[in-house]
Amino acid sequence: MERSVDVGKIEQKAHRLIQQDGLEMICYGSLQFIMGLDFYGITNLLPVIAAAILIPFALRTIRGRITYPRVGYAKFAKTSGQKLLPVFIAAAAIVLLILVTSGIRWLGDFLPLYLGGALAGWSYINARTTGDKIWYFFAALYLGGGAGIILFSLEILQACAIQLWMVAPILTAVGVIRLYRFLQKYPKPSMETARDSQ
Amino acid sequence: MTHNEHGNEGLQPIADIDRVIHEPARLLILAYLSVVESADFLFLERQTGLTRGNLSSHLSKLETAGYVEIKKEFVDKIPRTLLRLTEAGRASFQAYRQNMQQFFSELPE
Repeated sequence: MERSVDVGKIEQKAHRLIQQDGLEMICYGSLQFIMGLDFYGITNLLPVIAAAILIPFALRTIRGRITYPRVGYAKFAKTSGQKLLPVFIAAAAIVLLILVTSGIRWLGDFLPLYLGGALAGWSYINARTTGDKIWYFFAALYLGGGAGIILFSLEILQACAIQLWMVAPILTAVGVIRLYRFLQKYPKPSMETARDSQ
Repeated sequence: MTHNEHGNEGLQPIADIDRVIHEPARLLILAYLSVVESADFLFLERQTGLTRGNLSSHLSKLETAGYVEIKKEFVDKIPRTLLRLTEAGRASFQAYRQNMQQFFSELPE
């Protein structure tokens, strides 16, 4: 039993217990892949919006079947970073709107960098919330990818799509590996909740 | 006779320590509950590493002290014990942390 009471570390450990299932990585990796399809012009914005709305519900439902029966359920209060997320998204949307309406072409050329920055910010929030260092790797990957892809003379939206398609499979693959390990570690749903001695 | 009468003013935070919380297993339970809105029995069992009987016994003590609220509910026909820290529990845990920090900061190097 742990005897130290570092509440910050305890909070990170609590988040990690749930997130070790890898499901969040699989879901958001898939979402980014779909976003890439939209940027590339294969689909329109509708699948992206549908996926963005449905994925949090799907994640909750799947966790209800896979994760919570194995490691237990916890409802977390929003961390300060998560509370800032809507502001962060709104700011990113305003910047995009300015880019689209301003007509200043050279600003638009940096779109992969903005996208990489936004996703790196999301990864950084995850890293701080869970203490899981792999999110720093993804933050670097998003930002590095965004900066790197600008060097290639690609059409800007196609560059964004390629940028997403480079990272999304890695994110999803890490999620799948983690899910496999999670199921190995906790092979059967615990019936302890059913026989709770409380 | 109080600590102050012995000239032990620096020990006052220790005299004020809540003994319900001071027990390591209960302290750990409260620490985990302080970082979540609510959690179920299995989650606490996994996090604390306590046995089910031990955890159950400590939770009963914390419930009796009014620090933890225990609710029974059914999820997909499976009973689940949902636990959350009460306002009194949160305040007492906070006070405990402050007392301990004060005590250790006042100790000479």
